[in-house]
Amino acid sequence: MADFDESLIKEFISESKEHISVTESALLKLEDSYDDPDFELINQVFRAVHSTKGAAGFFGFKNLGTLSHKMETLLQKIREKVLKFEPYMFEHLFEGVDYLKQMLDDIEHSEELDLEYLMDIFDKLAKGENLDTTSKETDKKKVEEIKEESTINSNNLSELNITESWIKEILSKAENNVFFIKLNLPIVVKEFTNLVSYFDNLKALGNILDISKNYEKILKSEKLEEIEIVYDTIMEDNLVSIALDVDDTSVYVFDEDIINKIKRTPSDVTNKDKAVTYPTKEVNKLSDVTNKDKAEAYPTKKTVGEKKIKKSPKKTKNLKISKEDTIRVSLSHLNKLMDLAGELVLSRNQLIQIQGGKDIPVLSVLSQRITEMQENIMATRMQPIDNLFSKFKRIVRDLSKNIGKKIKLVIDSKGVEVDNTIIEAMGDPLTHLIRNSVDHGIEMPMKRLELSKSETGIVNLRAEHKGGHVIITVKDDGNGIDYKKVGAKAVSKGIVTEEELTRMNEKDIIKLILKPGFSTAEKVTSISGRGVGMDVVKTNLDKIGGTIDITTKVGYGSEFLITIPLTLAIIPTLIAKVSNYRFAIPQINIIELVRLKAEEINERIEILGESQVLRLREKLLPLVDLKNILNLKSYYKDPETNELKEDRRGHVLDRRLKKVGEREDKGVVGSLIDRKGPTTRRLSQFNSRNIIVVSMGTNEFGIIIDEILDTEEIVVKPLNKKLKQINLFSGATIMGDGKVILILDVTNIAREANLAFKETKKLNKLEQDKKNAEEMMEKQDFFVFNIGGNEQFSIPLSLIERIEKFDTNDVQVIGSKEYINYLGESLRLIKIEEYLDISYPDGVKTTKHLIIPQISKVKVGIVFETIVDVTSMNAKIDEKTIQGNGIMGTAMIKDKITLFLDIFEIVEIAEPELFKDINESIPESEDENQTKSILLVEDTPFFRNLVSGYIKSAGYECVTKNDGQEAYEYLMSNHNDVDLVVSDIQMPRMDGFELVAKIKADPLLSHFKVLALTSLDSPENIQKGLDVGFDSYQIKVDKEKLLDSIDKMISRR
Amino acid sequence: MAVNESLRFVTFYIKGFLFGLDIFSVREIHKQLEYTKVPLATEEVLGLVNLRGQILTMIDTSLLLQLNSSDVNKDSRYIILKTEMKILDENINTDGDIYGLLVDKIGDVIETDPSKIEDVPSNLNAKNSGLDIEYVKKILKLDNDIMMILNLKQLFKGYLE
Repeated sequence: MADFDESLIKEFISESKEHISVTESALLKLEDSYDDPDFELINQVFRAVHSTKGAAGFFGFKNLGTLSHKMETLLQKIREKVLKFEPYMFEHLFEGVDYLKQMLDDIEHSEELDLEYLMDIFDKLAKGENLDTTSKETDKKKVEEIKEESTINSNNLSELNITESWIKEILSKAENNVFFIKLNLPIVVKEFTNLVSYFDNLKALGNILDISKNYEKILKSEKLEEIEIVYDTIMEDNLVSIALDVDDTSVYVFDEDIINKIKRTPSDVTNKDKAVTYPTKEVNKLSDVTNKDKAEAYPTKKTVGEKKIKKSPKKTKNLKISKEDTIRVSLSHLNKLMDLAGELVLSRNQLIQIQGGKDIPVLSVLSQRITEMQENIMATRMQPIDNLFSKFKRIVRDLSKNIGKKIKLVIDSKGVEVDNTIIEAMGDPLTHLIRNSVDHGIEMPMKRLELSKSETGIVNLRAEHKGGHVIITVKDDGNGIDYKKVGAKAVSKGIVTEEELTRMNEKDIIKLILKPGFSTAEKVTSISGRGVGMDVVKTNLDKIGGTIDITTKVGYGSEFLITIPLTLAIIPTLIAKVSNYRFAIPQINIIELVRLKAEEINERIEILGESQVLRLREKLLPLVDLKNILNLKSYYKDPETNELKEDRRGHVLDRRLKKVGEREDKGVVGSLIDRKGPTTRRLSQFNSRNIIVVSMGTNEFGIIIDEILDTEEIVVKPLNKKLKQINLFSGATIMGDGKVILILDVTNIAREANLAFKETKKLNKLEQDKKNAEEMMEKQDFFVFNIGGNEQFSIPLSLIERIEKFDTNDVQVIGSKEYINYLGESLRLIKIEEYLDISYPDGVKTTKHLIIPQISKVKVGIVFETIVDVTSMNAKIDEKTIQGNGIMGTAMIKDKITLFLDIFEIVEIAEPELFKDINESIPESEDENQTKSILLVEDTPFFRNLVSGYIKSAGYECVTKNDGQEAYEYLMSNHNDVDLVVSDIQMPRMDGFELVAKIKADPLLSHFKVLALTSLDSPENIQKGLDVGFDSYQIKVDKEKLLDSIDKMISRR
Repeated sequence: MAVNESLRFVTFYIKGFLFGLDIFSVREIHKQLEYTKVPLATEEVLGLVNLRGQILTMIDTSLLLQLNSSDVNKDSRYIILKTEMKILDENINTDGDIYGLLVDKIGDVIETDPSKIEDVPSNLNAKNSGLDIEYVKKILKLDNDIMMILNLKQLFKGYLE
């Protein structure tokens, strides 16, 4: 009996009792009609006994487990029609049920019962023996038949030393599942450090009933060879092969037919003739060894008995389980109570209204009691989430042991309680997530040590309350999820197309693991790869209105964040008004609210085919006008009379609105003046429109409503059958004012409206493609600073080697130049204000900063005063507004115009003599008849301009392309005009790796030398680059090194 | 049911016709109720009513009987039905849904011996009365009127399955 929570055991007991009570009544019915039994009843009994067995095994209640197992075996045979019910069986089945009950009632002492004889009876019954004392005649025939069968079998065996009696003996010893396993020791032992630990593992997971070679002999013999064992374990066959690290073809389920099974693999036959002898003596020796070695952890059956009895009295103290603590109440009673409490609250509210603000003490006391009562009734349905969490301790322990990982499960449930229905619904998804973390997340101990992580992986399981929701986190410190692998897998499984993938961000790609048909495990293991994937998690969560979010970092681990409602009976909604109706929309469906002013309606809403679409942040969103779909009347407020009048327009927009693609050049304001009548009407405050953006699976759409009133937590009440058929309402609820309102069913509304998802998706894709083509850019980190003047400056972070602080008093002036001692060398200081047309710093600060750029040629420090920010932005730089030497362009950062510096140019201006030789080398190439042309492939405009500038400054021609695809197409048609390709690696559509592979594979292009210019500076990436065919690899962006490389490569040609 | 046990009926008028419902099928009778309309529902559904925390569906009975719709006036009443009803020997279960019937006027409770209840006479038909006799299960002749026992199963066709 291990260290389990008392509460868990209690739950197990009350559950098992429930199971057993079912058994009894079913058995009674079966006894009445034993000759023609109802198989549903048999199944019922079987399931009850089976689940008791499972749970008992889980907690280590051996007596309970074994007895139910034996009963189960008998029932199984009846279920499979191998045996028939006989009247004498019932007596024993009832006896068995009685004992199960007795043990459940007094679980602390359950191990003390001696049930050997009863178990024996069940064994005999399962073998078909007739135990009827009154009518032996009837079943004689059956027994004879069985005997006949066995003799036939035994005839076949004589040549192998496996005799029928031996099989019987083994089977009688068997307690759980028995397997005949061929162990190829030279192979399996390699996985473990040595033979002893392998056998320790074997013994820890089960019992070796028999073995083809003495264990001591195996230990002594120098050469490892194949041995065979008969192995008794609670594991199922698929687990055994994993746990013992053997091929599953070498594991055979041990039964009467075992001889034939083994024989069927011909390659082994000769081997077996010699090897498989089972001398009883040696077996005994083995068990001796086993006992000596591992008596503590894995005692044989006898010692188990002794130990348990000895232990029991001690345990009793800890395991005091009071029986009066809980009773089981049917949920329907609780639900009825909930309803009544709800009614009470309503009546109370009415009463308070009637008293009209007068203070009646009794009423306020009554009111308070009613509130308390309602809360308590709600609480009866709540259960500590610990009930769910604690079962994972065992799961993690067992799983990690089976696969040889060291894992600790840290639980932090913070006393969170949730509705019973939620506990039930969360069981499967959480089990799946935790199994995933154990199986795929946490690395093997060796690997973890290599990665300098602690040997033991940690899985965190946490629950907390947050804003009316419960947040459950499953977090591991394993190897994380590689979005690239996920993406590739999703494409190969046909879940997304390659094209779709390129448009997805990392997070969305990771979320693909939740799609049906996805499973990242390359090797399907019995633990998490049972053909059901993570989609189970998603489906289960969807059912209870939960959401899941995944954060993961390769090498550091993953975090799954699940948000679930506290209860299913009460859901948060948004109350919207349309016409003069109010509707509740579940907040779980809502993404955002958009308010369109009357004058914006024409501008933002367009017509596409039959539907209206909203232009929202560059995307088109299909719209549903709730009035239309519900067939409600529209009203508008007459601006002159202030009366509500029925509006006869069919759409929110009138028919004069434009179609997508025919945008008028005329401004909206102009058209408003043109059509005075209707537009003034639309302009009034009353006629603005609110749009609720909701999600339906992967689709999003907008619902046009008149007004948003409030958010409210509502109790969902079902609609009658007739009204359900309308399909647009998922239920009704009663508002605080006592009125009934309907709850909108968002999914069905979208369906009913026949929304143009496909069309808008197509359009969105087109626009997206266009946008991609226009500004294919990646985000860059920029370092933003000022030098104490008015201007703000920026340099790409990737060009900076270090930032240092210095004191102006330490500056030494030599001639017109300033130097500082930096790491034992003198460092030239460059003040940009001396070279650029900018303001000088006003204050005199003694502490300043230095930027040391990545220039190999010369070490300089650029002086500045304060760091403003490091910001990540699209490198879209305006190169026209402000121009000058040393300035690349401008962009807005933090609402300020920021100058982007060309550091190389500034350094060149400041130290012209250092660059002399480079500049002098240029004419060399110009001496040749023809200027060399370089194709630069780079998706970031910033770098594209920077590098092409360098290349041109060195006297080459430079053609630029935005990505691999463009470059490849260009090369195909212009291969005579290019002398060298310089390519970035990370690019959309076709990356550098792919480009170079294509170039090198094409006979027309393969002669091109390709230089990689990238910020991917890890050794693996460099190696990969060289492997796929890059001729040289340069890190962004050191001008001299780059030009040097280019020179070399061009002259080499 | 014992033969001599008398039956009691709640009676009400719709468009001048006198109808009866077994008193054990009626939960309560209201004079005034506020209901919420249900868009797209069939015409006879007046709306949803909050009855002390439970939501019930209010039906315009005359429309359900394929007569003209009823005007609500001071005599109008709402009869709230139980979820388990008994019409003579027939049991009707609404599966938990609660319905209310709008009627023009409520009548007396009539007590009668089951043996007095008669089959629907063949001369009572849509042509001469405007009422479709498939909605009438049995009748009871009174001194100066005929009480028609509603065939609820027929009336609630479409609501019960």
